[in-house]
Amino acid sequence: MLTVNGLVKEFKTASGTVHAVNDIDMQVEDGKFVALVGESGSGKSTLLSMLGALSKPDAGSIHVGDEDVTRLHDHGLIKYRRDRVGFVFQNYSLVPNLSALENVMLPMEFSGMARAERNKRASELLDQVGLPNDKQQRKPGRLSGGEQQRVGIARALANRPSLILADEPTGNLDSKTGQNIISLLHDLSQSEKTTIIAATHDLSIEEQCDHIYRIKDGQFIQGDES
Amino acid sequence: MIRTGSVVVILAISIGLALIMLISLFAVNDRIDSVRGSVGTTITVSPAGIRGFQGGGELLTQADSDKISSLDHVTAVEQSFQKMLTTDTDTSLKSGIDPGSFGKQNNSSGNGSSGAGNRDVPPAGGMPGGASGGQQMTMPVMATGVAQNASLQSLGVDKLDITSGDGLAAATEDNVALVGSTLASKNNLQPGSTFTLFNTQIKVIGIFDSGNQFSNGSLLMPINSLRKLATSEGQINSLVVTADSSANVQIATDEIKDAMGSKVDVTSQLDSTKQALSSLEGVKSIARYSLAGSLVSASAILFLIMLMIVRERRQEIGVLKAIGASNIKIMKQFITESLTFTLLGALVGVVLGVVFSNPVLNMLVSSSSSQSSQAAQGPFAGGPPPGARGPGGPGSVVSASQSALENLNAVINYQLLLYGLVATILIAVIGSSIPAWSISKIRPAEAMRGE
Repeated sequence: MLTVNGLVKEFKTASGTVHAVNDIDMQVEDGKFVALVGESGSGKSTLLSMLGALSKPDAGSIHVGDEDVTRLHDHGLIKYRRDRVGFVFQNYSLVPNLSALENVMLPMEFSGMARAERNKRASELLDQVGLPNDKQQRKPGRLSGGEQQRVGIARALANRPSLILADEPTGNLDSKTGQNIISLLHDLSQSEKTTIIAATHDLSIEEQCDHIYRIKDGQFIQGDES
Repeated sequence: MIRTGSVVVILAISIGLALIMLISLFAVNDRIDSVRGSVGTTITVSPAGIRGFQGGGELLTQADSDKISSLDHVTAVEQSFQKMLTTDTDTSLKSGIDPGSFGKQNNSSGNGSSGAGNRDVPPAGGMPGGASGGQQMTMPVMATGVAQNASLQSLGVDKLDITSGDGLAAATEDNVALVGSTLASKNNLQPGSTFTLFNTQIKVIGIFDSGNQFSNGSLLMPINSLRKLATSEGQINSLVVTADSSANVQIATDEIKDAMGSKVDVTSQLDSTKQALSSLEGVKSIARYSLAGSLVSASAILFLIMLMIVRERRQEIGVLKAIGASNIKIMKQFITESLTFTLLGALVGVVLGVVFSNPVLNMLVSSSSSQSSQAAQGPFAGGPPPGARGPGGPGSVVSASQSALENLNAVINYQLLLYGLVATILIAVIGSSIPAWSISKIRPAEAMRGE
């Protein structure tokens, strides 16, 4: 269970303080596929960033299971990002000089898995997300946007996280490919029993989500709805 | 790829330059040690202004000798006493040295006031033995009393061969003498012969050849015997001081000057090698500063390149942190990249160092050599031509300097390469760890936002 209470994030700018996330509460059950829907600048990416411990909230708490993420120090944060969370980025964020397979192997390398084992799992994951074998040794520059995003999803699954955070996963894709990616995430949440929170402004995602949180100016504007 | 190549080339030039300077520094240091070693450890102390025996100044005493013996860097002090035998009553020996045209010229211009038939103090401007009214000029005979056989500095010679007979038991008070070959020949002396000195019969125990005409016209006796016969007991013309090492000759010289003040003149072979050492020190100084400069510039170049790379890859670092990379992992990755750059640069740099070390060293040396030659010659330059060796004069100083700078070869050895490798690794680690550390401390979200 993911529980968020009174989460606040502010940014100081020349024109004053911006409340990017303003006193947000939410609860997500394990294995659910949840969407954060809102316009650009509404605060959904900032919220995801705090859920994934990429940035620190100014106030509030985030509990993943029994663990309060906001109280973790450096080593705990590294472990949390490595083992409990998987990130899918809008621009894929693959390491350009590594092959698709090596990109997927990276998180497993950070967790100390043996090379042969991580090679095998990376290949299985790429099969699972639908990247053909002949493309697994290609560098990201030689893959299409949809294929790169599949690699990004496989990388997010590498260490079997309980939570996958996807920030605009279809943002750089055409609508058909975007639909395929959303379907893939949905299927993974079902098959892997992984909680998936996807930030998007694509309303077509609604059909496949268990819950939708609508966000505006850093606050949920309606309660969760299914 | 082009950028990586450029980085490696820039680093190779810096590392190559550092290696060249390191090699030059080693070569010059070796030569400085060699020049210092050739100086020997002896220092001559004479009464001020008189070079011992031609009048003026006060002779040295046992107290002076003891005072010098007690100095820190002095290991031995040898006394010598010299007596110029100028009259027939001093000795039965005839001088072995021909007065030459210069002496005869002075003789004819003398006023003869010093009396006929003696070899006593010369008239003003003339040599000893000056005579007038057709009197034949004779040169004095120099008798030197020595305390040990080893030192011959007071005779101005480096070595002494006993051509016949035995050596001198210098510590005794026997009335014996070693006679120079020229003096022996002039007086038909052989080992076992006798002559008189201050009305005392002296036995010749050996004939020596010093390779120096002036010395070969003199005789050596035990110092105590000569002083007793000349009724000059306790008097010392010069002291030959031995310093504890050639490196400390200058310090010992300064100590003696401080202890004795203006009462004495202190000389050593170091004086003639000062110019050479000065040239070498000049090259060493250039090499040292250039080495420091090239190391600093290599570090700065690498630091700036790594800073640029780290900033460019800020987003990638953010992603790596987001997927679980630790700060140490990220730092290790950048230090490894930096090490790879630097080692590739070092590889090319070693080749550059090997190829260019001798030409650069020669350039440094020729520049320093021409400067020191000009400084040494000055407005009154003289002496023998380059390459000629001879005592005294600026020419000999220039010659010594040039000799010290000749055939200065840069040699690469394992020790040098080891120093180079350590410096390279230090450059790589220092140049990359600071930028990598600074970026690794940033939160992933901040890094991923980019600039």
